Amino acid sequence: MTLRHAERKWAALAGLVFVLALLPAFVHSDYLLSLFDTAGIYAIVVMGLGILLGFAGQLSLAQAAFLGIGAYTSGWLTTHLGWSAWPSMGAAMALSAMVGLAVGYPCLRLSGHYLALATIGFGIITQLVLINWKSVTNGSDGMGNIPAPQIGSFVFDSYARYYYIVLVAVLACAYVAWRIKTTRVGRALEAIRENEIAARATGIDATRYKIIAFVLAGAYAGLAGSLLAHMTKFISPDSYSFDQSVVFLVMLIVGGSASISGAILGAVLLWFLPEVLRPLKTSYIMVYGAAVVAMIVFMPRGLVGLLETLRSRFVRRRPDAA
Amino acid sequence: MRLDRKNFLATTGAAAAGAAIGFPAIVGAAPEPIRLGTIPCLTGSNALLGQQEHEGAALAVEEINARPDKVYGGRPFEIVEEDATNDNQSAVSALNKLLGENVVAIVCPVLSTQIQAMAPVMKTHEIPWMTGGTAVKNTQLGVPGMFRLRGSDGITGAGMTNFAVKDKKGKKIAILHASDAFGVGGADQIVQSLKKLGMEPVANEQYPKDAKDFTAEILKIKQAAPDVVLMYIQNPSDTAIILKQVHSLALNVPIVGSPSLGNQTAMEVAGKDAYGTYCAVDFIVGFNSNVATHFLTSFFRKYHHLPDVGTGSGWVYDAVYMLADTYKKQKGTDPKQTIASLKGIKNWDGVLGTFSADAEGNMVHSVSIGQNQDGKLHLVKKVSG
Repeated sequence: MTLRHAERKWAALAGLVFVLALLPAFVHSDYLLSLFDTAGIYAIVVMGLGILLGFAGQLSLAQAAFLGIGAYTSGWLTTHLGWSAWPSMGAAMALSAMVGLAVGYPCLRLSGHYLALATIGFGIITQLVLINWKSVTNGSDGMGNIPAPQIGSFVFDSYARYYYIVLVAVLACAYVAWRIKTTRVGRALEAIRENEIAARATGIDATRYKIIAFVLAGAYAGLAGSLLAHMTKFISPDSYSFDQSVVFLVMLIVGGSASISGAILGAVLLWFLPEVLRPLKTSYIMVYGAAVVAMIVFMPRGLVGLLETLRSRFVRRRPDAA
Repeated sequence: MRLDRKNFLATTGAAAAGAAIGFPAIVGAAPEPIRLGTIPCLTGSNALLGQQEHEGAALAVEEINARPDKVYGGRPFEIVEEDATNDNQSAVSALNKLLGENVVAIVCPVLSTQIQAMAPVMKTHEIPWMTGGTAVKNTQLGVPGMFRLRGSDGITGAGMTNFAVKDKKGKKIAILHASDAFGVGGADQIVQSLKKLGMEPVANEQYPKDAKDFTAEILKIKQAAPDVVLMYIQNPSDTAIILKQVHSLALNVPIVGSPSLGNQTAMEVAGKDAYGTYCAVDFIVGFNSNVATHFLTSFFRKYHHLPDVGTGSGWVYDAVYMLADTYKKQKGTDPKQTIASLKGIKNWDGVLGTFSADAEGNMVHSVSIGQNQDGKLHLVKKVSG
């Protein structure tokens, strides 16, 4: 029974991936494809935050800063040193992960509001560095002419082509997050989230696992930043603000903080929602705000929680209906 | 004819059939509108600028569509507007949406960072793009259809500096600027202009985005004891608060600022604290061309408030009229042909003065220095780059 359930789950996932892979064949609008690309990139950032907050219970409001570090690393390596986009993406991930380590370590003694405040400070400092370190970042003018990735002579220079890079990256990141969640590391992080003292008492090295969570969150955001830089071909410091970090946090909470699919759903929903509301003109922001508040109030476990509740009701009622 | 149920139904049926046959002909006869894309920031911290751009475009379109021939051949303008919001990613999404809406030209935005974020997309589209961002490098990004309808920071920065040094006899110049692309780019231009005059600023302070208290920056400038303070700020609400704090901290030296110091809202909010300050603006009401006077009158009649002369409505109004004139002259809206025609613009009269396109797409080559005298701007001089 369990095996059949697992098989069904994998088949559904394979079907979903198949449909997603076919999307550019049916969607020809650059506008829609650019939205899908950006939503996928934001899903990676939010998945990273999910590992930190959802799995380990560590609240960070600096995810946009890590996104910026990744974007600028990739941008600088390709425009100044002439690197290709692919190794730059690896370097962006590595540097963001290292900064995650550097931020995570001193923050180990902090938790809750204090940790959130420390990460806000780090985010603001990062943005100020991006603005003022002109010789590297080009300051507020931003960095342009960032090349698109290419394989041989095939350049990923359209939204449709770039979609596949983003899709592969989202699937890879989701797989890694799922592996983490279902192995010893994930269970250790969960134990720390529920009760750190109890977790330590059972022999879990909480310090090590919390640092791992920070490093992974940084690496995910770094990869996303690099993907964003190579897609938009222009980056500037104002995109990596505290406000943006709050948006990522809201995406995670709306989706479901402890769930990988929740992180993806939250990012996609909150990125598409303002676009769907565009016909409302300037009133959209009021509706958007009200919708987010309603989602948080009425879906405390996020979208995934709501879907699980609906599913359990449906499964329970089905025999009666028959 | 007796009106009974049978007759009534027959008459109504005939009328409906006639209308059904005639309706497509009537619709077919109506000239197809010319779809013009606008992309102002209507929400977020720069919504004030976006609202002014919206008003300028709407006024121009209303006037043009009221003409017997409309744009040309009876074809009216139709605005397709998308909100660029306050972040680059959403601005690019809005642009991609507009490009899929069959528009023949795009007008706005005014924020240079958004323009630079949109540039990679616009590089692949040969469509006229009428922008208001003043960062010097905007028109050097290699976008084939980009035109700038305001004086660049190069002209404004040099004009402000020369005015401070030569007219106000400043020997110790301080700079206060925002940390966004506009503020940093403008401050760099001022530093370069000072260098050309063999000078260096005695203080060069920038404040962080969304700051609401500028005491530290103002006191640091006061400590440097400057003769003149040059301000390069885009956001009118920042400008108003800064002017109030400059007054309360008794920094009593001439202030020469970027266009936001001439922004109507900034002047109204700052009130007496803005009296006596100077600013470099697009145009000054009552001191420019007949077109500007007409614009002022029409604008006030429609919106019951004055247009912003610093950053807002005038250049967008000019952009729409310039496109209308071009379409009328070439009797078509082909984007490539329009770009070629716009590149050939010479001595075209608009609200902001006389427009002539250079090789980079810059249309305006001078700005006006004005002084706030009891809440009203008065022309001091015109400066060119």
